[in-house]
Amino acid sequence: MRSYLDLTVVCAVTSLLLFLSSVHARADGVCIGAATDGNSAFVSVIGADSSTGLGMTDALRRTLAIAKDGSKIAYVSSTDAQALNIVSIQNFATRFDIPQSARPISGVEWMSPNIVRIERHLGRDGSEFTFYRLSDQSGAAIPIGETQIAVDCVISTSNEQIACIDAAREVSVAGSVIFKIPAEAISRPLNDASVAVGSFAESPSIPGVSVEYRGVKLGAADLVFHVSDQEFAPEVGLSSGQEFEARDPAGDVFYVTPDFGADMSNITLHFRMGDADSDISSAALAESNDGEKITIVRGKYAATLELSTPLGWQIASSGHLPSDTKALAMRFSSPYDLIIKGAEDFFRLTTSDYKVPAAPSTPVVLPKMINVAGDGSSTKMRSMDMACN
Amino acid sequence: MTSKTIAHVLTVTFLIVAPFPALGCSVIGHWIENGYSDELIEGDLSGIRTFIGCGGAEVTDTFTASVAMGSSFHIDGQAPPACPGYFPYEEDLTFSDCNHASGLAHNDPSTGSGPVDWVRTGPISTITPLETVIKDSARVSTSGATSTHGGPIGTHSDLHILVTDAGVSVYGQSLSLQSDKPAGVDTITQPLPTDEFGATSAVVETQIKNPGVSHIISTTPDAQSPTEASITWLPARYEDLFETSCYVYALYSDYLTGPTNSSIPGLPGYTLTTSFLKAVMSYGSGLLTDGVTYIHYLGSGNYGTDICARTKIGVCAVEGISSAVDKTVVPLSGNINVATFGTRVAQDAGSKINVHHVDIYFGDRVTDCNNMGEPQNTVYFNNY
Repeated sequence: MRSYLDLTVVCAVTSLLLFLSSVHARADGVCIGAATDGNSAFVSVIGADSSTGLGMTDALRRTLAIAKDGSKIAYVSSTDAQALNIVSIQNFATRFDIPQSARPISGVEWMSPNIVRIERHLGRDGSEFTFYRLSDQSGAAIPIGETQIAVDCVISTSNEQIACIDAAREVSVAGSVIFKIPAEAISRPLNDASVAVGSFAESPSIPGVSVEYRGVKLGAADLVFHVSDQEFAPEVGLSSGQEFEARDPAGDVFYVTPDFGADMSNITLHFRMGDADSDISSAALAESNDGEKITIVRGKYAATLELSTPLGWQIASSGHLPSDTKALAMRFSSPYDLIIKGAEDFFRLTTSDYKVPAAPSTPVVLPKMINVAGDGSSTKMRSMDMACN
Repeated sequence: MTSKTIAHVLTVTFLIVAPFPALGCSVIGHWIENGYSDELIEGDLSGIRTFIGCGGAEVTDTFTASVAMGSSFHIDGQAPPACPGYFPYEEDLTFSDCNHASGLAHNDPSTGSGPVDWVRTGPISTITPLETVIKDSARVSTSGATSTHGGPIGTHSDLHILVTDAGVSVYGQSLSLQSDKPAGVDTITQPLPTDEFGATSAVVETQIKNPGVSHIISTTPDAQSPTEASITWLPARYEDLFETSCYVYALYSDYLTGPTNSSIPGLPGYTLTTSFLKAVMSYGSGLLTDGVTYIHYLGSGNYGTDICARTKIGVCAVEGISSAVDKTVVPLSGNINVATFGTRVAQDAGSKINVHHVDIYFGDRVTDCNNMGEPQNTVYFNNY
């Protein structure tokens, strides 16, 4: 690792420190957004009227990620696709030289405050994923486990196991296949859809075999799989249990098929949201910290499910977002407040805004987070990311 | 017009000769006679006309007959008393379109006759189409899509409109635009009334394969467009830049070590390393060490042998031609132009190619691919 102090960065970071120090002093529910226009990074409290720019020594690639605690931004410059640059709002700019690979870094994502996932694009159905622990003290980027080739990979909350899903719809943990999403359940091939796998952790009862709560697989166009609090086993599959059905104001059907196992812990959620033309690329999912609430947005449709004993998962609310909302990611900023990352904006949505059966109200649409020149200019932001405390 | 040497119209008579087959044009507005801007007609031709001339004096008179658009008409003038030496004057004119009329001028015997050309100067709508683009939110329709050909993608053109009257901006002018395409081919979002600069805008969109060229005109009687706006729908530029990456096919010689699998779905009798199979799954294809046998990933965990690296639409991948796209953004089999790379065909797709991302096929040029970086490029959709 090499550290450098660029004057621009120092000035920017100083102002950012002042700016964000007030953020950290606030109560929970604050989300910080980061974005780049390709030259600089900008951070802002989502919903604030202004943003603060971080001057960069290099033009940024599209890759940019803000740590989950909002404390630092990772990015890859356009001139050196083998190095990971970190700008800490509490410290200074640092550069981690990631061990060389033949392929350039194509993506970076924070897994925890000091662990990042580096992605290197391979082909149409797979990338290389490597996890690194970033040590500010030693200045090293230490790889965790082996590099995986998959569609998507995550690391367990204990940072010891890596779970991946590949184009064959197989979910593997520590190299062993533990779950395969049944092909017959998917109306379109999974590899036509984006995939997001949630966080995994070891089961205290059966170390090395199972995972704890929160494995989330976002499947094909009209299915969302959620595997929770279970011991992963090959026989895990679709359930044929009781169905809950609800109809949203537009007549689109959502239904839930909980798999009532012994502990009522393994469920598969089916969402049919909109028609076949719905924009699957805008699918996003947020899970509350207590694991008892999931909200899914696909296209302009949104639904929130709550875990309600003894009935299992039920639709708590559903409805429409503003038609121009293109949800790419979501975070809960409070039990019922969602921050939705769109293509160019952030939106705040309160789940009560789209309760069934009442007609949905219009969520509060926040002003554009980024206003580079402070004059409403339309500089296009890319690689937006956000972190909520 | 060549022989008319004096301006002298006092009384004008319009004679309706034939109905105009075109849209409902109107003669309300300003007209000038080419080369004789002193003959400025203001207002409704059936009403007041202003004549400027006769040594700078302005003469105003009332037409003797109303006129319906689309008519041929006859102007019969007499010398104004205030302008001694002016001679009787006649013109026979026919509207060639809503904004032009031409014909012959008959002057006094000493100057003979010659062509005459009248041009409407206002109020007129000047409609300028901006670049045809594909919006960030545009997605390929499933209508007409097959396994190898995608459905149409929506294209969009903003129209910049200026309404002027004799060169002066017209405020608050409402307009109605019309396309020459049949209903359902393109959609016009009609403009708001003009602002203080005489400006407004409209949007024309289409999601029809190969719609050709749309011609847009204003059909508002008192703000017609002198010329139609022509929108060429393709090629269209994607508004968002595309992240550009490259892919190759896996070489088994790079994956010779590690665990092997001898029960490969679709490949009975083959024993290959699992790392190679993972690579084939990611790239789509891989080449065995015999140099002729390709392993192709068929999906759902199944593999097959092939004679080439095969794309998702079933044709052999060809360097310089093949590319992978998100088929919800770029229609499969569509022809695109990627800046710095040139023309490519959307033949491949996969879970890692999402939204505005194009993956360029590099064949076996692994080193070149590794060194390419992943720039952002402007992409045009050329045709289906």
